[in-house]
Amino acid sequence: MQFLSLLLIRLIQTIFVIWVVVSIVFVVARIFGNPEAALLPPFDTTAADYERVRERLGIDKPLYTQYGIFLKDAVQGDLGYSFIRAGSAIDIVADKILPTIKLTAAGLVVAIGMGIPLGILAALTRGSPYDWLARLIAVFGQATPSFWLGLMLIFFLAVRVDWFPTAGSDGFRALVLPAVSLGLLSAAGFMRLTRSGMIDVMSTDFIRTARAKGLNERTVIVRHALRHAMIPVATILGLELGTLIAGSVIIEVVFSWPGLGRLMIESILKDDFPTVQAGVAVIAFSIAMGNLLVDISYRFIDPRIQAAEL
Amino acid sequence: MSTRNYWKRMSHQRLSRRTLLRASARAGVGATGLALVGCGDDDDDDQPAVAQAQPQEQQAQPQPVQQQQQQQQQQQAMQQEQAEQQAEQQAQQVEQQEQAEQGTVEAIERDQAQQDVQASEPEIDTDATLYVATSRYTAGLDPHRSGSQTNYINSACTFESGMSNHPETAALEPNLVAGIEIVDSTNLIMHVADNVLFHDGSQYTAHDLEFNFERVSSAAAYHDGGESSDHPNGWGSARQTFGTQNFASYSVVDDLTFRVETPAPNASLAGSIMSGAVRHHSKAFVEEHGDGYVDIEQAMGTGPFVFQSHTPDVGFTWTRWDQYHRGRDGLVLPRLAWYKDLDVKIRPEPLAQLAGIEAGEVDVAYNLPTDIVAPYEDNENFKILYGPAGNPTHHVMFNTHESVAEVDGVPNPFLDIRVREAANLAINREAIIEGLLTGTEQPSYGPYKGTIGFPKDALESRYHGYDPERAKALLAEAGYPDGIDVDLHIVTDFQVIVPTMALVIQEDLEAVGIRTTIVEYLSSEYFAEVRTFSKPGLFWFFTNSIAEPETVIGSEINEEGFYAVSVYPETDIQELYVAQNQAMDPGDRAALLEDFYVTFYDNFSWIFLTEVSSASATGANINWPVGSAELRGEGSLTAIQKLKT
Repeated sequence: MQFLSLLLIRLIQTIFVIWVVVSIVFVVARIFGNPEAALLPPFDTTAADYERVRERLGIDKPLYTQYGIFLKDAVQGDLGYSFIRAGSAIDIVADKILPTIKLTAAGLVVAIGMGIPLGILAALTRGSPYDWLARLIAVFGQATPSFWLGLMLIFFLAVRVDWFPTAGSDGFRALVLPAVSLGLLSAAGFMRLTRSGMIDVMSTDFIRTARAKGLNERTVIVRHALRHAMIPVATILGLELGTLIAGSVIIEVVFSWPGLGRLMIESILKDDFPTVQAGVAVIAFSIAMGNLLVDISYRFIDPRIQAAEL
Repeated sequence: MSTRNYWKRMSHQRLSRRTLLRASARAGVGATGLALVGCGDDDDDDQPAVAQAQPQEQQAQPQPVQQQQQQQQQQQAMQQEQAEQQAEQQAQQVEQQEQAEQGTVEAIERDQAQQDVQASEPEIDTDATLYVATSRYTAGLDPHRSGSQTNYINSACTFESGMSNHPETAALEPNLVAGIEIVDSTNLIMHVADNVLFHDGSQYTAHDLEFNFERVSSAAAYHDGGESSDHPNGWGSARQTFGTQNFASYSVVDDLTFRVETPAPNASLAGSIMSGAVRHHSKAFVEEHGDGYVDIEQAMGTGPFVFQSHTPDVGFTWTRWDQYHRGRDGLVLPRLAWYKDLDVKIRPEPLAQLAGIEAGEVDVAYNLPTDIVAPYEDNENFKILYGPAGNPTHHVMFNTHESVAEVDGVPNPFLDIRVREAANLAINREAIIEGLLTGTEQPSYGPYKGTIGFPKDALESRYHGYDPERAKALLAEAGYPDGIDVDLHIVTDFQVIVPTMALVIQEDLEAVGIRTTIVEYLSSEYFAEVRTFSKPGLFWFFTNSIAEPETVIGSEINEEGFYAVSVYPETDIQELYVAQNQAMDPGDRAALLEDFYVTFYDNFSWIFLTEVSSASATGANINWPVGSAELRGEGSLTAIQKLKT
């Protein structure tokens, strides 16, 4: 019961966060944006054309009136119609979620799949060449802009050796390069956190006890040390989810990946307010939900943590 | 098959032994005949053998000589016939021998000959699929979406405009409309081509023409301004009228004839309504399926390609329309495509497009920034092509609007022609072209050289070249020996070259005493700002490449234009602008346009800068020839030839 109440509170918090974020986007976009100019070309257009477009888009009304209409529609699940594409903003965004989830999930797999094993290896071989190598990879991952890494991967692995397509979204091979570009930065974070967590845990009394009981080293590491070291990693996982979604914006452009990030870029450039608002709402919701799932996962990683502590 | 390929192939064709024997035998007979004829009368020297069969009554020579000659001729004819028969027999024998030999010998020879031809000059692959990468993408298939909402590539592939423009002269060329008849100054008759088929096989008629004009201008009751449309957004959210608002009345006379009346003479009307801005749907198809369907599901027109599929943000596929009404000859586009299928990939990042070419996934990318493609010029996997950009010439407008007649209590310096001349003489265009641009551009004289009536030669002879000393003297003479301080307003996200080019212009102007402060805007705010005419100083601006000049001169030079920042009521410019638009005769209009452009240029009305190029990149096996004024882009895809490799 306590858990369900907590869940409800977190959902209300999530809705509040989304409202604040979307409201900020609503106001800022309308202050700086000028969609009729983005919709109509500078030549061939008459003043009447501009006026008609403003009226049809509903942006001829005062800002507070527009905001009132927006809120009234939003509570009914209507975030308006795209100014550019055919359809409601939320439907257009929904169409792009799946490719972005696919890419983000693949990025996460790369991040975890590289970061955690490298972190364990570095911790267990502290001071050795393996440790140095793992830390070098981490520094490289954190210091390299993902778009540059993406271009380099395209150049060497797609153009030079033809292992992967240069862009697009057809099949598994097309997913590899964007996922690596996206995941490497997070992998570096996971590696460093895992390494420091493992180093701390490996010198604790309960690990010494476990060894004294005669457990083999593998069991000590996997069942005892790693589980403890994973608590801060799980915390950072929620934050990294936001980083990955944000990073996907530029990666989707570099690799021509038809996802939410590309849609957002295009919509921002063309002042397509409804689509931007819907996209921001979905991203905010995704990150909030990701963090909620991470919080819930604490209970399973460490049973000492109760719902009330979340 | 191109002519060049044909001749090349002919020159490489291998002659068989049979052909050689036949030829040598005939040559031998010919030589013998000539020698025998040489024994006869000199008067007959020039007469070929066939002429010897002339009727006797036409022969004016004496009888004995004539008889002798006839005998000689008969002998010659007989010998020639015998020799020919022998040669033919020999050839037949050789032929039989060859046939008796293994049939594979000839096949091997043919294959070898084919390989030789291919090695020297690859053939055009008419069954190929052309892969194109583009960043210009907007969802929606309806070509009547306006401006930046238009899906240009679908509009150009699936649909067509009323008429085409010649890629060298900009003259209107027949397309869906075969010709426009000027009945009088306010009445036009459009004759619809009788050989145009929609992709469903139905005939394009004057009813379709009427439907499309009505649809872009929301004039038809059945659309009720788009409000009653089944389109999810309400179909007509951002349409423009493209000149159809100037119709006083119109009607379909018969299936191939359409009549338009205008309230006043309007010489630019034909160019506007026939331009690529208005692409033509099938009336029956739209009425049957609805606005939403034709925008989201299926595109169907008369264009050079039949729409196959569309995946939003991913790409399109088309197939060549083999019943397209225009062949492959000439320069005018579009025309019957050389390749069979067209596969367009949406790739927003230019470097990803170039990587696609290098990896062999993409054949063509266009509308690329010139600085990005420059490193690929020496790469053997690429062909880099430069041509006019979508906004092909740039200029800086002086704000001489009446609202800024005085600036900070002193007269606006740009109302003085000497200051304007000084600003023009300050600019080193050649250095900009060589140092900053691609080196292929020319100085600008105002509107784009590829527009109707642009007097290139007349303007080039009056070129205001770089002369900073004279510029300084002019400023001093105008009362500004210490120079002037002004703002230079620029837009940063419209053409990538502008911010860099603005720095160069700033330096050039400063060198003669015109000190500028660059004020940057995004395009979403810039064009609205320009239209207010309220800020003094200089405004960066552009022209477009639309063949009908009205869109540029009507909005930027016409005193009532949307962007007419530089206005000079004391000159004849406005009168000439009005007069050219009333001159229905093309020759009269051209003469008036020449006066108009020359007067405008000699008035130093803008700071005339330079042309600006964009780049295209193709694989090594691609040819993409276009006319000098034609942009390489969606409109010229049918000019591309993919060669067999």
